[in-house]
Formats: sequence, C-alpha cells, structure tokens
Amino acid sequence: MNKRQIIIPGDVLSEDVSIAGDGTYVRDGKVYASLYGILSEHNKIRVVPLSGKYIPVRGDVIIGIVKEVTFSNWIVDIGSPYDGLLHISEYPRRINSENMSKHLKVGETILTQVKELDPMMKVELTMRDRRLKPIRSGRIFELSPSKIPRLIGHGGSMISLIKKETNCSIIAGENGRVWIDGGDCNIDFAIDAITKIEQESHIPGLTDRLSDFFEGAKTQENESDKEYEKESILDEILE
Amino acid sequence: MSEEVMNELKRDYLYSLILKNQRADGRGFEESRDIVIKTNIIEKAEGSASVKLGDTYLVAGIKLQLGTPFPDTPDKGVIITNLELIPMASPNFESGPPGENAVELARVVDRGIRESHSIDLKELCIVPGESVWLIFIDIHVIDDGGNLMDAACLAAIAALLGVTVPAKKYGIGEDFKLPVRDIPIAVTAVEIDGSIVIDPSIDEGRIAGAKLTVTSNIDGSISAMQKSGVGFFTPEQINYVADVAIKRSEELREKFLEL
Repeated sequence: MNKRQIIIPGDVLSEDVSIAGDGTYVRDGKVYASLYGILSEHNKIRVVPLSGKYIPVRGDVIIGIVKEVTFSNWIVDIGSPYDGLLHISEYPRRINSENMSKHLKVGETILTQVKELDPMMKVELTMRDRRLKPIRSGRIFELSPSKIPRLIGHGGSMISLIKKETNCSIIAGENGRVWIDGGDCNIDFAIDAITKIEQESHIPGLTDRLSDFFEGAKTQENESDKEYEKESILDEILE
Repeated sequence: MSEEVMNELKRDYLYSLILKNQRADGRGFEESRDIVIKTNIIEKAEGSASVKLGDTYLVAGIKLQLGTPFPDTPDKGVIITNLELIPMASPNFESGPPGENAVELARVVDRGIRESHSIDLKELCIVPGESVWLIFIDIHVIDDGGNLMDAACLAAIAALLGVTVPAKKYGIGEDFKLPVRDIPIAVTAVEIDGSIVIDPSIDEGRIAGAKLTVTSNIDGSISAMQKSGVGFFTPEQINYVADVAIKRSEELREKFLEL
C-alpha cells in the first residue's frame, strides 16, 4: 500500500484541469485543494477530507432523526448543515396527513435514502424501499462521515468481519450514523471495534489490526473463563 | 433558542443505563470528567483562564477599568459578569443578544463570586463616590460538551486568581495583585429518573428532569445555589447534592491551589 499524502487547502495538485474532482478547485489553469485531507488519484484527482459534516449526495442511504412534523412533511435531522424533507407520499404506506405523527413521532430514528437534491441543497428523502424503515431498537453510534468507507471496507469486508465477530446487525449510514442492533454486551463490543476503526483509519493495515483486536478479545474471554473455572474448582475444594 | 431534538433511541439507552447504575461514558454517578485549566493565556487581559471539562471548552478573561460606583454603594467596586454562547459552540446557540441560558449562567457565576466575598469590593474603591475599579468578567464558550455552569465558574475564579490590577496605567500607584480571599467552586448535579448524577454530559443534561448547582467555599459554606428544569428534588436529594458538592469542590481546590 502506498503512503498516504496529507493535503492542506491551497496545495497545487495538478496542471491538468480535466481531472479536477471533489475537494478541489481550479484557478489559472491549475488544480488546487480546497480541503484538508488525503490525496486520491484514481481517474480524477480528489481530496478525501479527514473530518467534516455530512454533505448529502443523491442515492445515499442515511440515518435520520425526525425533528418536526408539518402538514405534509417530516423534517429530518440528517447530521448535516441541511435538513432532510420526507414527504408523506414517500412513507412506505399510504397514510392520512392527520395521522402523520402516529407513524413517525418527533425524536424517532429512521433509515432513509436521499431521493432528490437541488442546487439550493433542499434535500428530499424517501422511505419507499424494502430496506428503509423506522428504527425502534438497538443503538445509534455517530462517527465522522469520512470514516464510513473505512468502516465498510473493500466490498464490505470490514463491516462483515465486525458483524460476524460481534453477532450484531450493523447498518452504516453514509451520514456517519451507524445502527447497531444485538445483545447489550455485543453492541458495546461492536462500538469498541468501530471506535478503533475511527481512531486508526488513516494507518495502513487496518483490517489485520482489527482481526488481531478480535483475536485478543477472544483470548481474554478464554482466560477469564479459565480463571472462573479455577475459582469454581477452588470453591469445590474449600467445600 | 431552538433545542436540538433528542433521539429517542439514545434517550431510552441512557435511561436504561441509569437503571443499571451506569453512565454512557463509564463514569460513576459521583465522578466528574477530566479537567484541564490553563491560566494567563491572554496577554492583553489582566487575568485569563481556559477550562476544559471533558468536551466542554471555554475561556474567561478579566479586564479592569476605572469608573464611577453605583450611587447606593459609593465605597464599593463593581463586578460585571458576562457570558457569551457563540454559535460555533453548539448548533443550539444563535448569535445576537444573550439569551435566557447565557444570562442564567452569567448570573450564577457572578453570584458565586459575589456572595462568597472572594473579592472585597471595598478594597476596589479609590475615591468614595467618584472612582472605583470595575471588574469585567467575560466568559466565552468555545465548545459545549455539557455542564457549562461548572466550567464557567471554574474559569472565572481561575482567571481572577491571576489578576494584576493595572494601577500604573491609570497613574494611581504601582500595579498590585488582586487580593482573592476565597475560591468558590460550583458543582452541578442533575436528576434523571430519580437518580442523581454529578457533572452531566450534554446528553445527560438534555434528558435530565431537574438541575441543581451548588457553589461552595473554602470553609464549606455555600455561596450560591441554582435549580432549573421542570423536575424536582426531594429534601434528601438536595442535602446529598450539597454534601457531594462540598467534597468535590475541596478536591478541585487542592488541584487548583497548585496552579
């Protein structure tokens, strides 16, 4: 794996204007960085930010929190400077406008998708998909949206590793909110793992270190089991 | 001020933890977050301090000026406390004149310092009825991570401890250190589902029914109290909070005096 190059705003990235991608701007025929982050040079030249708020993109599956119910819309906090709008017709079932807050109350968490986005950043959401639904159990963990690709890993390798090791169901929203559902201890364990990813995502070899992390946790568990056995043997002797 | 909506899942989770005698960040009910205090960080101020309490971060600065006393207290100096909740600190803060929260925080900080007689206002008098020192305590919240009250009180007194009175600048003698006689320290507790939790984080503060701040002094006396929120405390709970606050403030003072 090549060394990752840290870029600060104003760095000259290229003389070729045609490859300017996200996180860059063009001035006087040169491409400059507009963000603080890591350089990425596949096809287009991009700067992947190290942190920052979520900026909605069409098609993103995200986790939102209902913050207001209006006549025909739910206004949803999507962890972004811009609010999401979920129109009544985008709810999975046909419902009456008067019953809106019976179906989704203020404070409720939903798994939703960005349906449409206009240049004024009016974000329209939808729940008309089998995967999308209100979230009523488990826990929501928030991390920086820029870390989500690392949490998912190549082809979902990282997230399926965590799912397998912790027995939790995990859904990562593009806006940095992660829904974890399972037993209480398992959720804590999964959050430990995700926190580790968040802290060490910029250091290469993350998957290996995470495997080690799970191995370590397992051996610890075994040891505590052994100790427990020892204690129970001692108890028996004492008795 | 618009309040950020509390996620119901998170609220349920926090409640369930409280029932199990646990807190989201693994602290005990009487345990506060780590505190870092830095003093004399602003060169142009007569005294200054920054306080980091967990994620909460704020800066206090003290300026002294000559002015006329209030007509009803001609032989006393004046303390003016102001607290600024800048929009950068939290999505809930708006720019503009100080809101309800900012005024409450400033007044409780002011009350703690004033009523503990930590600063003798009579010593700040130069010519009775004509000229006295005005002390401006300005607190800026940089990041709201919950429990601004304790952090603000701590920053104010830490800044006051390092104040040099700029007498030379105004041509009335040599500069001298502002005499500070007491160190009032505030400790805040919240009631969540009948349990008492010290130093609430931002989420705990949001789900709390009631909040109680107790400011206590070196001799264990109490100089300020403030209760807010729609919930209630039983008399036993108030006594308990006061006891914990006095104990906790002693610990903090020990740390403090080393500064």
